Amino acid sequence: MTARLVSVAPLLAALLLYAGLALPLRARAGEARDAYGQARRARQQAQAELAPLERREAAWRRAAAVAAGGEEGEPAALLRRRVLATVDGSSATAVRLGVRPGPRGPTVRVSATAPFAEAVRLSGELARPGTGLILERVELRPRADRGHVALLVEALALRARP
Amino acid sequence: MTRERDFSSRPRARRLSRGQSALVVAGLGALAFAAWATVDAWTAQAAAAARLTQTRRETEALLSRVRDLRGRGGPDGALAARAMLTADAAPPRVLARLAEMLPGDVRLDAVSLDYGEHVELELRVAARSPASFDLFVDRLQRSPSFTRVLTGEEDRRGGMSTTVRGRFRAGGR
Repeated sequence: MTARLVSVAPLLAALLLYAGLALPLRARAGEARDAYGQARRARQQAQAELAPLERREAAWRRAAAVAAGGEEGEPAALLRRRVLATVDGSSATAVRLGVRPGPRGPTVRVSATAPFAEAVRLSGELARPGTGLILERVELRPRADRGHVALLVEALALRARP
Repeated sequence: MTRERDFSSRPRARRLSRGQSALVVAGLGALAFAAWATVDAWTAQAAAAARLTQTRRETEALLSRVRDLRGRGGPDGALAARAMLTADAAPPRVLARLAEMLPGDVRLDAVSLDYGEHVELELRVAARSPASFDLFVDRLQRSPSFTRVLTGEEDRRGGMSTTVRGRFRAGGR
């Protein structure tokens, strides 16, 4: 009898160990893997949601950094200087410029006449991050003089925060 | 050296039969396998749980940042959206994308871009024939860069000039 018990004991112990520990642990590992798959999808979704918001934030910070760029003077005057520097660097003619203080920062309205390619380039220069401008409206309309267009740009510059 | 016989009454340990020995060997093998399977399952479970915890922590951090940025709202949020569009949908970029869509005998007479939550376009289009105009509109409507493309009133007798409105998608390429 004892010999029989001794001979089957390792097998019984193996069965108990496998059924009592290995199998439940394996099932828990499977559940954890499934939950990990779901969590990974949730993370990807959160990343996809965050990406455009981060880009907005970065663009906002760049515009705000220009406003807080350390130049001395009235925000409207500083904006006028920056816009003039950009317009003067172009071959646009009939330039009209209006800068007004606003609740969120000074606003600017620039109109000019230029060949189409130059007008497009100028609108891009005004929109580049270094100017700190946030576009509101851009218009390109034909002019009587062939090949030239009238460009209108309305934009806002952020006011530096104290 | 002579071997003495044991005449004592002490019971002798019984030896295992061959079958029983084989059973013991098989049992020990099974025990070793069960131990290995247990350790393996434990390791896998611990690793999966650690990855799960880490991923959940990262997701919570991302969602917290999303809530933070969304919570901004108001004029700051709208301005931030416009600041992004100023960079991502600057006029040269929008016009370059439009130029790719234009058939040879269609031209843009006027363009206006309004920057808000989105970039809204209004185009004054002149085409030599309705077919060319239709091709331009079809290209715009199929392009991932433009959405909500709508045409204004069309006089389709020969050369035509009309308005097209739409929305530019900065990331749509």
